[in-house]
Amino acid sequence: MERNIIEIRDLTTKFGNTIVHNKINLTIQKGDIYTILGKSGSGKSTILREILMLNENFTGTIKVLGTDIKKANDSEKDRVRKSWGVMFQAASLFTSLTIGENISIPLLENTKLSKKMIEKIALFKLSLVGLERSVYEMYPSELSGGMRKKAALSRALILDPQILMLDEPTSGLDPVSAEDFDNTIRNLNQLLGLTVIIITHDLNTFFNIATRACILGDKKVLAEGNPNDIINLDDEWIKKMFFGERGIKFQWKQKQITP
Amino acid sequence: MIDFIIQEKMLKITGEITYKTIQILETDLAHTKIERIDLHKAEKIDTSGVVFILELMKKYDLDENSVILNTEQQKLFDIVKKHMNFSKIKHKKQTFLYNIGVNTTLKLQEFYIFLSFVGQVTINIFQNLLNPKRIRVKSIVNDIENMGLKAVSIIALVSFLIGIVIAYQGSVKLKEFGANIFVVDLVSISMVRELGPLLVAIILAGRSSSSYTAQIGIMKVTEEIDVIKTMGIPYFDVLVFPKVASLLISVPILIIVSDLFGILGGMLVAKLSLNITVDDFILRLHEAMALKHFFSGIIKAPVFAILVASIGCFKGFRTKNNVESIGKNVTSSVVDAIFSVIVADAIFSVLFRWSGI
Repeated sequence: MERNIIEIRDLTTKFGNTIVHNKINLTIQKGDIYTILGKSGSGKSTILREILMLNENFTGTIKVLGTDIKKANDSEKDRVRKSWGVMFQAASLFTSLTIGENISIPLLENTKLSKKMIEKIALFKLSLVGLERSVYEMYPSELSGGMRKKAALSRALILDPQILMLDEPTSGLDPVSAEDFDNTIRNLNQLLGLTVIIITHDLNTFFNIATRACILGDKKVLAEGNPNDIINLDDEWIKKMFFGERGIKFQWKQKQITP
Repeated sequence: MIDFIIQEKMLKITGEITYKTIQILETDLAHTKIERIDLHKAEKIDTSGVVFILELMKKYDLDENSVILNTEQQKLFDIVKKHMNFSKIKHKKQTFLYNIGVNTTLKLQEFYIFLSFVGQVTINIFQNLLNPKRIRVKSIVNDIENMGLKAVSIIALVSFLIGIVIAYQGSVKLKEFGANIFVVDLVSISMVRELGPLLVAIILAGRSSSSYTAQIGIMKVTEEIDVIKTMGIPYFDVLVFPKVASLLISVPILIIVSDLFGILGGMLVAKLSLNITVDDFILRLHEAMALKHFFSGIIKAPVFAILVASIGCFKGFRTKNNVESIGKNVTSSVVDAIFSVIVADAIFSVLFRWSGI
């Protein structure tokens, strides 16, 4: 199998006359926890939507697991779609189904397993992301934001995907829940060998769990590589982000914790 | 993809043990007793596969020593095992009688809440009338355009057709008696007293109350109503009063439109199949139609308007926080609005009969 899970080459995206991406190159390798950072409106979510084949209005090539998604036929696309699990920013659980039903849907659609077996697998995934057993019968509207995100994560994980894509997984969570979430993702990455792609604004996520990262801005990739290398790059926005008030506070805190 | 053999109660699996393949194992192993499981030659196993094997072990009461794993698999098994201690799911099933009881209570409860909602609407109407600055003229006018003006064409067409049907059905019998001219009485009185108002109310129940429910329901799901509340804006003024007011204004006008087109339909049939000229028709209409007929029709307008508008809004506010309940509530708002309009019409008929109108 190829080492490059996702390869983006010369990606250019335009919305009308505004250029969102101008010849972007990204490479995501197997086993990475890859975070995509960037200003609001720098086209982070657009990249995700393009990888997910929800937005095909771009030029350049995007290869997922070696398949060029623009040239792929339907069965190849289907294979690619089953190889990833996605969690959207708003969790996007089906509001009229219970959490258990939400998690089971991919199994019900793709296999002929017995109800009992599907329940067992779904309950295991629920426990894996750290949710209580009692959540299984509840409806999304009865859960807190953090629990909803975890439930969405367990739905994304149900088919044991090779790639896990998360759009702002920790936004709107309190710091403890966010750290909890980060740990869950790191564990999954280590235990199951998942490749994780995270779009985030959260510096904690960036510093704590990312193994590789890229920063988007001004229609191109400002930096790509190891998180520690990125911090030291000479770019105004990057400096502002890491050495601005919030960034400095964060680094100061890190020093306190790990002397 | 997956291969397995059973030798001396030993299950050997090779290939991929994933969510795609365990279904084969599940059906084929349903009735075979197994004492040992050998997985170490399997190329790939995912967590669904591990869950399945663990369940298999539980079923035949096997301990860890009777399962042969390679080191990679052992790691995965350890992870999954940690998360497999959950209680069983109990599928609750209620009896038929229980459901009838629960649903009846819920319906009665909803009716009680609806009554208090109508009370709120009424109080709100008076508050607005006493303090006209609160009235939002723009949204009332907008609503009149959408719910009144745009309904004119369909109401005119349906009324015209109904007028034709009544006149045509009546004409057969009236011809036998030689009482051709009474087709005028038949069409005009039935149209003006009953059918005009009822047609308008039913069409508005389908057009307007459904749209009110959907609008308010989605606003509730997206928490827009909460935003209005927290801004300190009286939400009845914004969401309910304009709708009630616009229907109060449009329904009487729509009823007159419906009356006119119904009679026009009758006139056409009278001319074509009963040889009554337009002049004769209008002359007879003058005698047949008393003012009381017209008023006993138009007096229903405010009642129908309030019923349709308040049921539409009420069902919207009753929407729960999920998408499915919007659909359900839109359906039930249309059904309930039509039902209540017909009930109200029946009550009117009885009242008019008692008072001799």
